[in-house]
Amino acid sequence: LSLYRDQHFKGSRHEQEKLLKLSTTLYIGNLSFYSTEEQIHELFSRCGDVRRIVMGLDKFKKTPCGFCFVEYYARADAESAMRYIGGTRLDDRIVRVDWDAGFIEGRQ
Amino acid sequence: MNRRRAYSNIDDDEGGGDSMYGRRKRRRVSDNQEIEDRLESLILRVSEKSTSSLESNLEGLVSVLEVDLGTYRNKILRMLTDCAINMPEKCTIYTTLVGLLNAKNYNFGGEFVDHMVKTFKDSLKSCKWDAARYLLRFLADLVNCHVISAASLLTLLDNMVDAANEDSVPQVRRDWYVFAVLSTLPWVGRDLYEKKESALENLLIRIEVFLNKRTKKHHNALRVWSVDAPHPQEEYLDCLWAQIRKLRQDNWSEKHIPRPYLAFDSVLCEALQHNLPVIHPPPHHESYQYPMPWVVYRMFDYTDCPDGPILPGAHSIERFLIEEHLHWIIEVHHWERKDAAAHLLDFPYKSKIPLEYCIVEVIFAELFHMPTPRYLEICYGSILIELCKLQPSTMPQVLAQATEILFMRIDSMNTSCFDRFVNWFSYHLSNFQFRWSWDDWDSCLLLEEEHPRPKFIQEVLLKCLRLSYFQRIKEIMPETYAKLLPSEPNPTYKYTSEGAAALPGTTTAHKLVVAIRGRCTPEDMLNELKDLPNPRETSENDMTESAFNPLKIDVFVQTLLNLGSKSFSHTFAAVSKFHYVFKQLAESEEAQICILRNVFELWHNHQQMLVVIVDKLLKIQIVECSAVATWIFSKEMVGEFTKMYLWEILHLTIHKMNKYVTKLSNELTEAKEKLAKATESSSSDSEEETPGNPRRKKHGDGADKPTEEAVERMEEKLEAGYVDQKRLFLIIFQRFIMILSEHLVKCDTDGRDYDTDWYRWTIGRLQQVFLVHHEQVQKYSSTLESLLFTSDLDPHILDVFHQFVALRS
Repeated sequence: LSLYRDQHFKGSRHEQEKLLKLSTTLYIGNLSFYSTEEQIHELFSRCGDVRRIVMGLDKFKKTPCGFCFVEYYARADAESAMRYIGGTRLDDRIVRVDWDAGFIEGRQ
Repeated sequence: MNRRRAYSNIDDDEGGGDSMYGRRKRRRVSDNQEIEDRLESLILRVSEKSTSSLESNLEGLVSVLEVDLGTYRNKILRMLTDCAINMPEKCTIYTTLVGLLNAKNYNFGGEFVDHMVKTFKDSLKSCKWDAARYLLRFLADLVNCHVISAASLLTLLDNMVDAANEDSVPQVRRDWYVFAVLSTLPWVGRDLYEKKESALENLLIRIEVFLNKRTKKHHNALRVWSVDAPHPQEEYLDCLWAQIRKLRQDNWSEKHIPRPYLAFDSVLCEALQHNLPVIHPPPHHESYQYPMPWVVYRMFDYTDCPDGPILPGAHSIERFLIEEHLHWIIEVHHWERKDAAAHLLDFPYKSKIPLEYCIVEVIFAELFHMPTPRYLEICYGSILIELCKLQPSTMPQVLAQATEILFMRIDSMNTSCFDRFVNWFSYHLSNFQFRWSWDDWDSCLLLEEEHPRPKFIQEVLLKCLRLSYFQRIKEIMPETYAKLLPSEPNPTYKYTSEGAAALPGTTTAHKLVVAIRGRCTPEDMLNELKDLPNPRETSENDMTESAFNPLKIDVFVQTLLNLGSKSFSHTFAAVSKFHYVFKQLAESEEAQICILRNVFELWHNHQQMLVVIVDKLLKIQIVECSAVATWIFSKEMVGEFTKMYLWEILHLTIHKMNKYVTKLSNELTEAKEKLAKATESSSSDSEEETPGNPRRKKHGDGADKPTEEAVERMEEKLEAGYVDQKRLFLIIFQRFIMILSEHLVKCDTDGRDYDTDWYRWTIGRLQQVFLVHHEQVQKYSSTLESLLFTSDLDPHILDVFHQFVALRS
């Protein structure tokens, strides 16, 4: 687990940690605003079967704003993505990969 | 060095002598634990870099351990055995340590040998083949340390070669025993040669006889390249045998293994030796899984690395030892790519070898390993990126040179490795701004499009496109490469194109667009489609009720997916919303194939989209695996047949099927266990009912106890799953046989050479299906043999099947 935590998480820190340890969802940060779901899918499916990708959108403009969530079916695949993709490049930017407690509608 | 200094050394190293003392004051009870921990740390760290020499560290450790042998004997035995298994690269350091202990305490030496022998036997019984091999190597090296007599080791090795000569056991078992014996000889060959020359010769003759009798049907299936120029792709036992023969020629002297015991010769030669007990390898059991054979990967020789130290030759034992060690480093650190890269570059003998070349060769050996690589492909890609970052002055050049070599030899590369090469290279480029000197490969522009070289560039660009975007790919490529560029990944929607008015479905299609934009329901949608005429009903079979309406599917699928074409998410949302309509239309396999055909018609310029849509349709059970397989081999897809993405789709389909069957089988096993446990505990009900433990009882036969009927149903479901799986493989293999036979017969009658690019791709794909899914296909070997791969089949096709069977035989 790393230092990143969802600031809007409702519930105790402990609950959050517990969810993070079971999670199959990753928070992906430092993306280019132009990176698409397709590109992210291609890169992340190299670690396993991706269940879904939720693009982070700007609150007002509804355009991509540099982050997304990638959810896998299996925990092991998400772990591989942490290991092998975090710190490598997509669209020439070093992507950041962290655990996420699971995407809830509205967090975009 | 005395005991005290050894202790204080460690305290200094940890920088925490005081804190340790403090902890001891707080918790006296754990004194023993603490000393055990300290012993462990001393043993583990004796070989690490320190200011004093290894010899003095070993001496110091021996005097520490000698004192504690009384109280902590078992702990020390266990720890040293663990070191033998878990740190094979430090084998000689620990054998020296054991040798010195034996010299001081003969009884301990005996107990240690007993413990090792027991662990060795256990690992053979539990099929831990690597552990067994490292333990055997350790025992062998103990001969060098005067702990074990050479004669008793030879008896053990002889018994192992006996195991290799058993009849009616799988060859892979016999192979392993010979491999284990041969791979200990670099350590102990010299000593055996000096003390027991004729017995050693005898052992080698028996091994040679075994090797000459061995069948090597599997060899061709596992090769990365089909030709032996410039480097032969040797079968692993043949190669090791050649290396050992060369070692024997050199009087068993090698230049790689550090031997710290040589410095203690005077102490060790006075020690008394132990005899190994007679060890008989456990007999074969049908549940035993042995390592599969492999082919030694070779891409470099000394002429490739002109500066610096010379690369040991393919048949020098040093090459074997270096590679084994590098593979080992990857195994230990594959989970932390940064550590992996750092440890590879910090290889202990780096000044004596062209290290970058050795590392790159070993990493590609793993990536191209057949049938499948040990770890995820991206694991190797990410380690290579780290290596480039850590060694920017040399690594990128060596890697570029390797890429050049791989590209030049791609004509004979097997298809699975071709795919992995494409995937790695595109990923690597995407991490380095897609910079590559494409002009160097200009000559391939003159070749036929299906030739592996232009094909490679085409596929790499398609993968690069997926990791970036169309404009970027166009910009990075020289203009001369225009014909290899991917097309722009847009949908082709026929109902708005010119001439659409003449199409039968256009009016309905336009109505659908309005309806979908107006958020219509699935039922509304079916209503809209209702009036479309069925082109199939004009023919004589207009009475057949099950006849699906291809025009309905056409208009619906293409219009819906075109409206959702903005992104994967839009497409998925559209498919989910109208799941019911899909389900209604996809009533038969024919209809499912029709759906796939329409997806293709719309998206033929966007391969990745095709892959994810088919994946989605399988997941939400609109189409079945068998429909996808039939579609891939259909007439409409002939033009796509040699493209990588189509096989990506086929393999994801097979994977889905395999995963489903595995899941069902695991669930059944679990349910059966629960049922058995529940019956057991209910029979001993009364005894267990203690007031302190009521919850456990409830759990035992409570909610999750499956009923017998439920288990029966699961059994039926699994059976049905196996039937589907078998059918899928039968369809695939049957289609392969059909198109390959057709090609071979046609070439024969026309008097043309059958060995075309198309033929090579197709036979390669057939081989790939066998190898990638070998564990699952193995279940159906006998069915396949009796139904499809019969003796009257063309030998070219039959050969692929026989190679596959040989992998486990």
